[in-house]
Amino acid sequence: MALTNEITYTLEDDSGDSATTGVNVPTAFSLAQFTEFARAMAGFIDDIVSGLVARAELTVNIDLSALTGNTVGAGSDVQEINSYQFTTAAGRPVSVNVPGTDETDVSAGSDELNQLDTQQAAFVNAMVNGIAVTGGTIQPSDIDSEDITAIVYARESARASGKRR
Amino acid sequence: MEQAATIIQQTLAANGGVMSWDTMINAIPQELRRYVWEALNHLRAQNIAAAQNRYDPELGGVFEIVTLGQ
Repeated sequence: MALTNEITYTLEDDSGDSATTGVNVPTAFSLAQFTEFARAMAGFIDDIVSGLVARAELTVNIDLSALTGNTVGAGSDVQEINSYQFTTAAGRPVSVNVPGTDETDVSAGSDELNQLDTQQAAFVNAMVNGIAVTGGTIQPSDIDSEDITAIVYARESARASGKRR
Repeated sequence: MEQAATIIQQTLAANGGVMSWDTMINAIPQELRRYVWEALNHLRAQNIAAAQNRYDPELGGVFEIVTLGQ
């Protein structure tokens, strides 16, 4: 199956509620071209709705077929969440919830994720110090592009299943 | 924290400047392991050593402890 990117539009109504709709598009275009498409399509959508087209986001689909060890574990459950809270230098909290806790990473007698475990440590360090890629390091940030600088806590929580951000 | 940082430096030197997280943890006595992150942050700030995540075309994501400033 061919990969697609998605342009997601958020629409707001008169009562302040919002909902989203998405348009799948081919991947073989530049960011500038996607921006032109998204702006044009936003106008066409605006013409067929009574609410406000509040936001357009491009979701780039990444080919993960080369990822090794990426299998469904027996008893895995996306209602069990790895809940991480990070902070920026300015003290702004950044929450990251990853569904599907590996129970072997939870410290005995608590809901704390063991940050000395190598897999947990790798994730935490990637969030706090970034990942070195060709030509630079990509550093996770908050929504204002302020770098994450530290972890506040890592613990397991349980929630109803659904899409996580 | 200083003890943990010293052990990390020594173990890193003994492993040629690169080691796995588990190698580092196993070298640190149990009672000092709670200082690991603090020690790593200290060593990073001093540009001596750091935990590093990187992309490798063959291996994907790699996580290791490396010597800095070389």
